[in-house]
Amino acid sequence: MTADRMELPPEVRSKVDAHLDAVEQALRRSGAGREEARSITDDVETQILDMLTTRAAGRTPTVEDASAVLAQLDPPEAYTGSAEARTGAGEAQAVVLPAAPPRPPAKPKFCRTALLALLGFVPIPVFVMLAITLGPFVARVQPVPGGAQAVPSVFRIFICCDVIPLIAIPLIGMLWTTILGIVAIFQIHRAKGQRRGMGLAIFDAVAAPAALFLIVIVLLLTGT
Amino acid sequence: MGGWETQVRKGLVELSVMAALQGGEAYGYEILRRLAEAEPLAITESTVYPVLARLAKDGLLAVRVAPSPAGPPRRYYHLTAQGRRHFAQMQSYWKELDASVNCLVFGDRP
Repeated sequence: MTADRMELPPEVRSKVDAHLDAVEQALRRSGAGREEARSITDDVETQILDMLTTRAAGRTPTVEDASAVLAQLDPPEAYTGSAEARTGAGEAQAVVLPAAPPRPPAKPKFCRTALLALLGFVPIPVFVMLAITLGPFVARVQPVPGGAQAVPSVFRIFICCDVIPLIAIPLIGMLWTTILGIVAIFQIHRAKGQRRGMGLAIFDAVAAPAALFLIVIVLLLTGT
Repeated sequence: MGGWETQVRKGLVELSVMAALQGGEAYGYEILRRLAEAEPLAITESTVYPVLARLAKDGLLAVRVAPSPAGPPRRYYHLTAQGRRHFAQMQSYWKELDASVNCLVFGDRP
C-alpha cells in the first residue's frame, strides 16, 4: 500500500486495508517475496479505488460501496494458488509443495575403523603362545664349541621360519592398530556426532605404544 | 468449468497478458478490463496481477509508476525489447498451434 491515497472515510479505508492485508498474507503464504507481494497488492488497491470511484460517481464512498466492490473481487484465498502464475507452470509444483517434515536425527553409527583396528591385537596372543612353545628351543639354538648345536637341524628350519614372523607380525599388528586408531579418532571427530566409539579409537591409538613402552621399561628394569 | 478448460486458460494467461500490452502501456486494472473483452478467457485479478509481477521480474515487462487522480500511484506496464521478442515467438508458436489443433479437432486443412 502506498502513502499517496485517495481520501476515504476511515471505516471504508480499514475495510479496504483488511482485504489488502489478507491478499498480501495469502501471497506470502504461497511463497511470494515481500516486494512481489507488495507490487501485486498495489495493483489490487488501484483496482479497488478505481472501482470505488466509478461506483461512488463523485460522492464519498461508503462502507456499502466498499463491500459491493470487494464482493466483485477474487477472495484473498485465491492468491494462495497464484504460485503457478508467479513462477510459470513448470516451476509451480516446487513452490507450493509443503516442506518435508524434519527428519529425526539419525542414531550415531559405531565407527568401523575403530573396530577394524582391533584386528591388530590378534597376532599378540599367537605371539605369546608361540613364544611359550618355541622359547625353550630358541634358547637352545646357541652355537656350542666344536660347531655342534643343541637343536636338531629339522627344528632349526622351523625355528628360523617362526622367529621372523614372531617379531614382525605383532609389530605390524601394533602399527596397524595405532594408525587405524588415529584415523578413527579423526573420523569420529569430523562426523560431528554421527559416529561413536571415541573411547575405543583412543584405546586403539594408545594401547600399542603404551604396551611397547611398558615392555621397554620392564626390560630396562630387569636388565635383559 | 471443466478441468481441461482451466488448464487451457492457464496456459494462455501469459500470452493474453502480453497481447493486451502490445497496443501500448496499461496499468493492472486496465489490462484486466482489456482481457475481460475476451469473455471465454474469464481471467480474474488474482491470476493477472501475479503474472504481471512475474513478467516484470523476468524483464519482459517494464513498470512506470505515475500519479493517479483516483488515489495511489498507478503501475503502468509495457513490453520491453526482450518482451517484444518473446511475444513475437509466442505469436508464431500460437499460429502454428492454432492451425494444427484446428486441423485435428475440426478436420480443417492448415
